[in-house]
Amino acid sequence: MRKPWSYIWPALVALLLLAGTLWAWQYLPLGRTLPTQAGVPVGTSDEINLLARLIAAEASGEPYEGQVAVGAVVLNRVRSPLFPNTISGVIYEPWAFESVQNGLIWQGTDLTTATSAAIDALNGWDPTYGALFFWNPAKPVGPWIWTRTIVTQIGSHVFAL
Amino acid sequence: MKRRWSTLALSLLLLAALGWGLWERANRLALAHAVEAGGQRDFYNLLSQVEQAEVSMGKSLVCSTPAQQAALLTQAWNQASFAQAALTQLPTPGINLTATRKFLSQAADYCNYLAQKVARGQSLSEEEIQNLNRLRQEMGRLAADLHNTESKVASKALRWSSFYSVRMPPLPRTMALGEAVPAQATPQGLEGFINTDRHMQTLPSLNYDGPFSDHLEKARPLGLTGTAIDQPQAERNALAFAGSASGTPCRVTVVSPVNGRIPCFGISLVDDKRPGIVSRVDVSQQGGHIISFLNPRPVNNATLDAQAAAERAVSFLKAHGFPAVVPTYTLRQGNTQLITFAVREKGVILYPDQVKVKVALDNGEIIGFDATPYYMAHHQRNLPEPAVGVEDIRAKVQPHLKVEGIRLALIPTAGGREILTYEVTTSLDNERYLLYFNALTGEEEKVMKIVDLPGGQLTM
Repeated sequence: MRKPWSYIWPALVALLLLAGTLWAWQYLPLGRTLPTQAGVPVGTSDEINLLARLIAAEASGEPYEGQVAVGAVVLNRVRSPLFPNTISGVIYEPWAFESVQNGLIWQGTDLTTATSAAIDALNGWDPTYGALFFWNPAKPVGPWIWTRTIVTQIGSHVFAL
Repeated sequence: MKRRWSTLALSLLLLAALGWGLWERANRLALAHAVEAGGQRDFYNLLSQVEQAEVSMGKSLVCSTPAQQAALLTQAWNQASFAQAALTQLPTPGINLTATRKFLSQAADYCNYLAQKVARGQSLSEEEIQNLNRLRQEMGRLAADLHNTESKVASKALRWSSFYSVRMPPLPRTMALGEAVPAQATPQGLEGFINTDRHMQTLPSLNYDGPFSDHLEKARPLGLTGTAIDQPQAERNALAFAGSASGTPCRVTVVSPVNGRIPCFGISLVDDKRPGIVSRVDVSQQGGHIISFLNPRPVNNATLDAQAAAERAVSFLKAHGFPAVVPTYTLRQGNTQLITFAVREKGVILYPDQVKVKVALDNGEIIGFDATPYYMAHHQRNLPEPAVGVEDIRAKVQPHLKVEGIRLALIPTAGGREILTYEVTTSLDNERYLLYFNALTGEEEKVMKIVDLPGGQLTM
């Protein structure tokens, strides 16, 4: 017959180990390396960089025009009276983009494709023809989003006015 | 003995866990205070700027001289835009304040538009004064609403940082039933904002010559000719276009409808030469025109220069039936050359009718094309004859500027109108500026500065 505390003991050790791991985790350089600009074929201006980061975080794995479309949505918001009128204002608006909320935008990824997409968007390509919203229908979204006029679906994102 | 050991170890563990918890809590509180401060700052900025915008608008209605009126309207424009910026950065989750945001943007923009008008020496029409007064009253109402919320903010009944706390995930049951996860319930203390926004939705629309005018939302493409086409026809057009752009036959992979300002078939293509690279062509449902094309293939080392790329782009546009175009700007990015063209009609550059072409400098293929502006704007125009002579315009330019060229150009206004102007290219030191003078009145309409990007070139 084992004493009850003999169970508590390993459980507590496990708990502490877990806590310690969680605490140490933030100091480990895991996937937090900042991207080098090597291989990016343009002299990156600040705007291209900001936009490319958001595109990489929101639309990696999407088809190329889907990445351009995400960049175009940001620029359409800049031009719209409903949103802030700067690129940084739009990107960092509270709860505007999931990747800003959960910190993915700061994760270093390969920005090569995202940078080309950002440049195309800044040069005026807009596969969404003026969309202000995009979301992934496979994920839970607020019901009011479905009241917007849907323009098109590219890859796994729906784009709407 | 053994028992005492484990008790000691357990107590130590407990203390360590407790210490860690307290330390994490202190960290969280510090961050919460910082977030709270940000929210408070935005809220009080919003409140004070709305109040001040109302005052400036009121003053502009009663002042006696145009100079004073222009200054006050400019002030109101600044204050209302600052208020809009503060509102958009306020953490108000799960509620939709688009009507209030739009009101602030429009009020700011309208004040700017009126200020410009007064600065040009015109006086405000009866209708404009009425509009301004209505916007002023709404601004006052918004200030009063914000004051009601302010009492909650001051009594700490409304904490901005509380909106950032992590919510418990919804019950598995709701997921199993396939119900949509409801948006956040109305956060406490934001009812005032919601009521304000409801009222703002009922405001009449505002039409004027500015970028946030309501009539621009209904912009229709003017350049689409022909009748509706079906999908097989759209695919044929897309394949023909992409084939001539890259010189190889392609296959259609996916077609999806695009119901934007220009309804299109969005067609994805692959060419067997480059597996894994998917190009995209948008073909308009009316008339089967190619609206845009993007080929994302990587481009290798350049063998062509900008001149050769421009020639390639011009012959491509000619082959696809575009009217006479002139290059207006060219920009080299990496190993691609982007060239912007505008249509030329009777010696006048039509800036609204714009087409962009992207050329790969490794082999001269066309890898990008965008005619959205062209198909939105191009139509049969009756261009007026200029009423002011070139010499009169030259005399208007400041003497310390060097005039490099003058030509007629049709330019779009922010509010979607078009003006016939003289475009005067001038240089000051090493910088170039474009001045636009109305060709009918001689008024200066616009000044643009050429920002020199590396690899960018204005083509005159």
